[in-house]
Amino acid sequence: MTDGTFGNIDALAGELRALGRLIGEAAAPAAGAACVGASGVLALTRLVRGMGPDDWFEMASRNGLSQWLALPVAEQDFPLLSHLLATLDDLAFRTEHDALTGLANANFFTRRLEKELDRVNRDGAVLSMALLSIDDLDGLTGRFGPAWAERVFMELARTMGRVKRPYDLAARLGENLFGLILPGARPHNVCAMLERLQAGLAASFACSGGDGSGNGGSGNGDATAGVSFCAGHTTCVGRISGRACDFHELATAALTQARRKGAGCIQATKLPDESFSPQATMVHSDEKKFLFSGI
Amino acid sequence: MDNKTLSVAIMSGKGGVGKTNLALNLGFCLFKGNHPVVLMDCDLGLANLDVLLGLAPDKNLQDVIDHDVPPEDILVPIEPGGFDFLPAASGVPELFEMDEDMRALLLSKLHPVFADHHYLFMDLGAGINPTVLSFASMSRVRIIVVTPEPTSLTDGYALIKVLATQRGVKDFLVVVNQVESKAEEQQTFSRLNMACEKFLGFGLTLLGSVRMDKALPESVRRQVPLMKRTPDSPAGKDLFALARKLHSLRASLLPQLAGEPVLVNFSSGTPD
Repeated sequence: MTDGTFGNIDALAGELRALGRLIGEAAAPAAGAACVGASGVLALTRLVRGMGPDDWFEMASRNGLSQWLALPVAEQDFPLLSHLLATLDDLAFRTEHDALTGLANANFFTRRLEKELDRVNRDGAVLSMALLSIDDLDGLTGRFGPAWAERVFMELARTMGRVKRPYDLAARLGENLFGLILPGARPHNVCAMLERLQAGLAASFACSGGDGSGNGGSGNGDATAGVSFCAGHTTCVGRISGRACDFHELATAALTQARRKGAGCIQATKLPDESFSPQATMVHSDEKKFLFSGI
Repeated sequence: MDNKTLSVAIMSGKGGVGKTNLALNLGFCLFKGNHPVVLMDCDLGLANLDVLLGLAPDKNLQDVIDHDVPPEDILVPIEPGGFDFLPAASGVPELFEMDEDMRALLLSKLHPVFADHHYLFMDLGAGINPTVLSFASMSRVRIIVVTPEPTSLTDGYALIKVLATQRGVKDFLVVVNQVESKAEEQQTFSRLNMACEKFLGFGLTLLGSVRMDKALPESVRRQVPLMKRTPDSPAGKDLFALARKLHSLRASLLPQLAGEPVLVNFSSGTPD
């Protein structure tokens, strides 16, 4: 960190341009006031006395220095710093969440799934994952428009938030693909939750004018639209060698099967547990007979 | 320092077959043969070795885990001079269901106590819960206690099968308890051994048997080890014979024991 006094604006601009060239700005244009090295990110700070935010914005605009980050530190309540922190918080949230629904996004979902699978391998725990998508979205969007689809997605997200347990993770993984990570849940738990989710979604649309049987109101006068979803889910118990992508593939296959079966269907699969096979340890009837009779 | 401690897990599929009495009386015999012995009540959460001894310890294994109490402070001398007892808690499900990390922590804390004795007898709870399987797979020697009852035989076989299938453990000594005769001992062992050979692909080793004897329930009622009260009873003589075999076994294993930990960690792939 260096200290200087704001006096010659052209000298300061020249210094920053020269520094920009030296630190290879061209190689890392998005880094702003940072030097991106092989192993990290470095923020360079220079204190300039007597310069306010307006002076900086004018100078930066005139000299093509908008990639440099200016931070006023002399003000009592640091309004720009608060704004910066809020922006950073917002950016951090956006990197992990879907902008429309506020649910976790695919990256965050995958990272959590990896962690949960590690836990399964470590503790021999149970883990389920569910994928779901709104049935016949294209047809419904064609009839009622994209705004209707967004409304359904947001309602689905709200319903997922209501029916999931606090430690489950709900995510939007694609345009019309939603996911749930359900630690400790076995297939029958997941089925029960997904059925509650379907009922909750149908009820939401019924309240707004639908017929309540999965044919929720569209909100477009007397037109109605089927608001239901198909879901596929997979469960693993104990130690497995598969990673998140394998788990995801199984759930995707289950979702595909559910879609083939028809609207509103739920299909389950199970990842083989390599550490424990009930058949392997079970005492079978021929073994019992032998123990009793010796034959 | 070279290990001299032989760890012995005493277990059964079915409850009430005499594990705790066997551990207590074998321990007493070996102690009387000038070997320091520690009994560890591994029926964690539902301990009863203290009851057989008429003891009510203030502290137990739970205190070692939860309150960092030194293991020496929970060690209860059954007889002065090296016959000691590590009590467990009763009515503590958390101890019963402890995970691998907690088990490892507990055992590392207890290691100095183990190393001070020639024998570590681990009195395991009945059944096939993860704690039983872990302790059984970590011990150097495993004794399966069965009685001639079909239920005991089936449950004992189930325990052997689970340990063999899940943990790769295939060496077991068998004690047939509560037998009426030598023929019953042979028939019971033979049935179990042949089932293991036929269905699991390995055989068992008969350590011996203990006859049905009224002196034993009397000792339990009086909360005094049978080997102390009536060593010349039929059951006492059988127990003495079993102790002699264990003594010989330890003597033959001593060179191997020197290069091994007291408890072998099978789950991490450490060789037996």
